[in-house]
Amino acid sequence: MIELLTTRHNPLVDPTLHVWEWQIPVYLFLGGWVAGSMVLTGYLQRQARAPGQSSVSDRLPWIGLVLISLGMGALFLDLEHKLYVWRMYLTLQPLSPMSWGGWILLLVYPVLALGALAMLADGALDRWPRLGAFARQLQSHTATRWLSVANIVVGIALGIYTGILLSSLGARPLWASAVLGPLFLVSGLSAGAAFAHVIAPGHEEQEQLLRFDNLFLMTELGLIALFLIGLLTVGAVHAQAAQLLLGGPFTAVFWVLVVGLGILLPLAIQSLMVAGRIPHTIVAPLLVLLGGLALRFVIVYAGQYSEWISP
Amino acid sequence: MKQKGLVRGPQQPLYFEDGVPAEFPTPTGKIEFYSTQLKDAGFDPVPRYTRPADGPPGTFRLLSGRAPVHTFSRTQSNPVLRDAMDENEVWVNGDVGARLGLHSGDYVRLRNQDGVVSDRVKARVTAAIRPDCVYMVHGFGHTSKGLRSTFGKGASDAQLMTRYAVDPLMGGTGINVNFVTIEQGA
Amino acid sequence: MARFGMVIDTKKCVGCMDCVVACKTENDVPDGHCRDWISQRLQGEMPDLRLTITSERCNHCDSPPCVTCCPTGASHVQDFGKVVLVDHDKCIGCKACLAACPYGARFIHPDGYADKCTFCMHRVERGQAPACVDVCPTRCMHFGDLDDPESEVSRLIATRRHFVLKPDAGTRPRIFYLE
Repeated sequence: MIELLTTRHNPLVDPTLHVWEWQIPVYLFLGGWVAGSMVLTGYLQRQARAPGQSSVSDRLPWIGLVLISLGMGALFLDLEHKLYVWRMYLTLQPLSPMSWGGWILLLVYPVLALGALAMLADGALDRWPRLGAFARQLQSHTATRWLSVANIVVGIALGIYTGILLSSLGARPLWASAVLGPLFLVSGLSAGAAFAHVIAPGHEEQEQLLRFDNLFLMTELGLIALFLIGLLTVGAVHAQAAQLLLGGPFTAVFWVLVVGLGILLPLAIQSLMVAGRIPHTIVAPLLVLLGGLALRFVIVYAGQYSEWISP
Repeated sequence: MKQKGLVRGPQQPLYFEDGVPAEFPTPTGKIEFYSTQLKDAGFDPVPRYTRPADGPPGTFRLLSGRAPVHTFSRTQSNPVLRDAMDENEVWVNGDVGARLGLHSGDYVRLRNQDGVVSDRVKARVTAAIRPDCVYMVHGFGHTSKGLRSTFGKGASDAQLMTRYAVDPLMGGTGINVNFVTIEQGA
Repeated sequence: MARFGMVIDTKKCVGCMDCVVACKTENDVPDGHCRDWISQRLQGEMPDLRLTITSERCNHCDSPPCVTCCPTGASHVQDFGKVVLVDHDKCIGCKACLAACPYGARFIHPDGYADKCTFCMHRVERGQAPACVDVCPTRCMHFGDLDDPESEVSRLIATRRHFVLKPDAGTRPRIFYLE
């Protein structure tokens, strides 16, 4: 038996670390969602389509702009020294994923904005003829190809960085897993696909996005398994951190909200939808979005709770 | 004095002079481990351990002591020292704590054998104390509302010391002779 | 080039918190916060108990995770003494460094920036020891250059059994505790 007593009593740090509130998981969720949307946008832009046929990839850039702005707003709310935020953009710290993330976010905006501009209907920019001409140039085949590549690259970077951001903070054993990068990316892809499926204009595209989403959800299950196996096998400190999800204070919310309602149930519903057994419903996509949000909350909160226990 | 700023007097030995055999006012002139004077006065010539009286069953002997942070009951409202230690705790043995369902950080009150009840005080359930005793740092439990920063923080050990023992030999006061029960849910 | 570190004798430390009070007054640490603190580890069962008291603070690690995670370079390793410091005017208060430190040595100053022990660089630059070391009534704390084999700290580490806190966190801390 070891009794540990400390006279330290710093807010946010004692008795357990609690530096990040709802802002960070909300940002990580919205960032992942936008990342998934961008990758899907890039993919769909490369698909051949009949003249005049609309695609959900025409709508996603606009929505992405709104979502990423909300996410960055949440991030800003979290900062304790807000007036100094511009300091992020005077430097690139090569070892800091957060610094990379700041710059990636700066790339997200122009890519989304160009995509949004390209999709404006003819005539919408009549009052600004130069902008209208530029938008028409963006609609060209070459510009679309480049834009789709940019969407995919920046989207993957955005999705992975949100996970690596946490895993680089090695003092929190629950986060000490590089699987968090791909896990957050795939979770973002599934959120993006679920949402795109709801607002997709064509039935064919809806079916395609549903099949994608099921694939993403299954991949996510596999990555969650890998994440837990990795923690359990790497050492005592990390195994104890994994216990937070396998028999600790975060177990119920993790298995019920994230795995059960967020992955398994929508996976079942969407499989039936793909098989044509039940009509399309927005229940499953909503569950996927809620599950993605819950995943970020659980990982961020449980991770802060986990600590190095050795003396 | 004006030139040097200080004047040194001749050095005087405090108790004993170097090189001179020391003498003591005892029959043998030495330090006595076996005191014939004490024996003549009716005491043990070599002090023997006398086991103190046990308290009523179910009670704990209240021990009192000091923390290095605070000086008596005078420094509890000093901002820096208050930040280092702002209330005292009552130490309760781990097995006793398990039996009572008491956890570190729970607030309790202590009631002594004469019915005096303390202010609420935080429990510290620890292996560092015997099961038949509880311990508190002295100096807390201020009663003046004017001491806003420390009023209502911790409990006073002195308040619970309604009894004391006097050493018949040299008149010293024994204060660890009070017995308390723990009242939970304070 | 110097590489400052501390050696603290747990056999002499009584946990009086003089170091904590000295730090607070010397560095004007805001009320309710602390840059250094006392930890007590009690092992065993009554009556066979062992108590280890440690005066803890930022370990000024050789591989500081708080510096690598900082997005603005506010957390940095200073050339003089290889001490880990925070540039208040660069800090945006993202709190990544608080999460990255396995020792919980950092906190957010009420003014918004991350704050922690500086090894009292303002005193060391004047040739004085850090305030906590200077006031210790049991003289259990020693400060000096770990790269100088003749320094007091180097000799103590070379000749006495010692431990560091959370060595498996991989930070290579520079505060050594004699046992």
